[in-house]
Amino acid sequence: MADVTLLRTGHQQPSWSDIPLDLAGMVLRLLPAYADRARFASVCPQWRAAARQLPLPPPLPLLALPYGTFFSLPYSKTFHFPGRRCAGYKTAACGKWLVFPRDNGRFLFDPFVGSIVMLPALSRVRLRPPNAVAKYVHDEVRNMTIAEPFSWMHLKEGEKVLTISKLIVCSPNLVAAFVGKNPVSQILVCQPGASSWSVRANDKVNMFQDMAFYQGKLYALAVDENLLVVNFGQDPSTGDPQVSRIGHVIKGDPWYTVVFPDNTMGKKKLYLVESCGMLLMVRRKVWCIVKEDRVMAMTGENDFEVFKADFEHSRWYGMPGDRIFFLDDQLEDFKEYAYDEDRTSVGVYNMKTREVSFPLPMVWNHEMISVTWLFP
Amino acid sequence: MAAPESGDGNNGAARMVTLISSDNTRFEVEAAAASLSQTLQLTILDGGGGGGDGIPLPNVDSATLSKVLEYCIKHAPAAANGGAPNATAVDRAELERFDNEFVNIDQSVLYSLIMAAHNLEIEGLQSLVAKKVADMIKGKSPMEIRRTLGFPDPTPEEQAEMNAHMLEYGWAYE
Repeated sequence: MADVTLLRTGHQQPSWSDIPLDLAGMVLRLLPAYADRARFASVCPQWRAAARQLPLPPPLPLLALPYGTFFSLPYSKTFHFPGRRCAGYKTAACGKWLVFPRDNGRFLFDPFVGSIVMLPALSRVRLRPPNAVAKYVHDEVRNMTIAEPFSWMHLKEGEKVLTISKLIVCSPNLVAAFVGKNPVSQILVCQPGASSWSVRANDKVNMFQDMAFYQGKLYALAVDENLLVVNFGQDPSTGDPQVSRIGHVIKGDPWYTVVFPDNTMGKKKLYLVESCGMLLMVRRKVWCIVKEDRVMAMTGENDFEVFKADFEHSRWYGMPGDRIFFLDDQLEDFKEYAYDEDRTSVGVYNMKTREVSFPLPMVWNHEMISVTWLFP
Repeated sequence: MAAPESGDGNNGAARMVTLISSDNTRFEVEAAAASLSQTLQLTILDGGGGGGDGIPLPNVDSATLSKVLEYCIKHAPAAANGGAPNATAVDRAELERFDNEFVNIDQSVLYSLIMAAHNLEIEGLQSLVAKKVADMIKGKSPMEIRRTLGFPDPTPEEQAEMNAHMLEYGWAYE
């Protein structure tokens, strides 16, 4: 093995700053916290060079707090990015992007390097086909006119404001979002910096729960636990990305929210995530209690099940797991339940013992619902 | 296949090799222990190090070499078993206890050890010291890391650069 030693000029004593690059890498790989890697890189120019050059596994995620401060797991001291306004974001867009509101739209901000990506306003949506109209049929039995299929054209009408429930940056040229009025939404796509979104205007809306970019393809998960694959094409005139077809990949065998005789109830949330090269559906049950018409989530009372997307057999395949880190989450415009405690933290669900613990020292007020993960 | 108790030989017939430190001290050690070093293993397989010859190690002083060999002798039986699939939990716990105590030493000795382990390509020892260093770094500020590892005091320029870099990473504490 070549003895590549970083030379320190004007310094004769043997020093830790001169350790070979591969040894620096060994130490760095044993520092999973973003904070420790940052501090390692600040020690001396040689270590800084090592931290920049060496391929490393991604660090542990950060937790962003709404007023612009961050936790670096597993540490409970908050920090901020000086000179970068990180307060007031809405959520995170898969990875390192914080999503901020701007007049009827959003922009993305990377707090690590300070870059901004503008997204079109929600009032600027290119319809496909351009001449799409809201379709209705007359229901003879009930003698009423109903929207059929209930599409984007119906969704955008009416009083309620359209909201973005999920936003992901698939590539530098493609951003996808669920836009709608809870609980239904449609998939909109755009090129970052473009002036408009694109939508398949006549497709039926869906109760989308989550989406993930996996092995170069965008997958969407609906509340019925069906997995859909979103295929893209290009607008022939502008070259902007557009959804060409949405295909079914897996037919779900869904579990739905239930209320038990003792007034407890399980609320369901679904997540679609990539882990260890697999596409996983996480089914989370948040246990609630119904008290005087209020639905209260019981702190820490969560169950999780994990399923792997088995593409070959078009089915969800139940998986054993290790630990799941989670937050008490809540959609800002769609309150499904309240919490019975003021303060919250990162919960860890042990899939073997099926128990929830709160081993990390960080704690924050519960009303800050938009605490979010960042993956640098 | 049973692992010997410690480094006291394989039925008394173990092959021995001689290693010579930079300050000319001779160490006689079992070939199996010395072979934990990838570099030495090649020389030993070629038949080197036996008899009166000895293998010179111009980059390793006697204090460091003695420490390195202490590690190799302790780890040789497990290594000979190919990662010791038949080692008992007691054996593994004992080795772990040894490792923990072994690196409980001053940073300057750790530095010499990891450099020697790198030089001799002793993978386990490199990992062991790297882990100790990572544990010493965790949770500390750059300045604390420098003090812990015996760096000289930073020049004003170095100090300014450190501060600027921490800001770049967003590391301004509340």
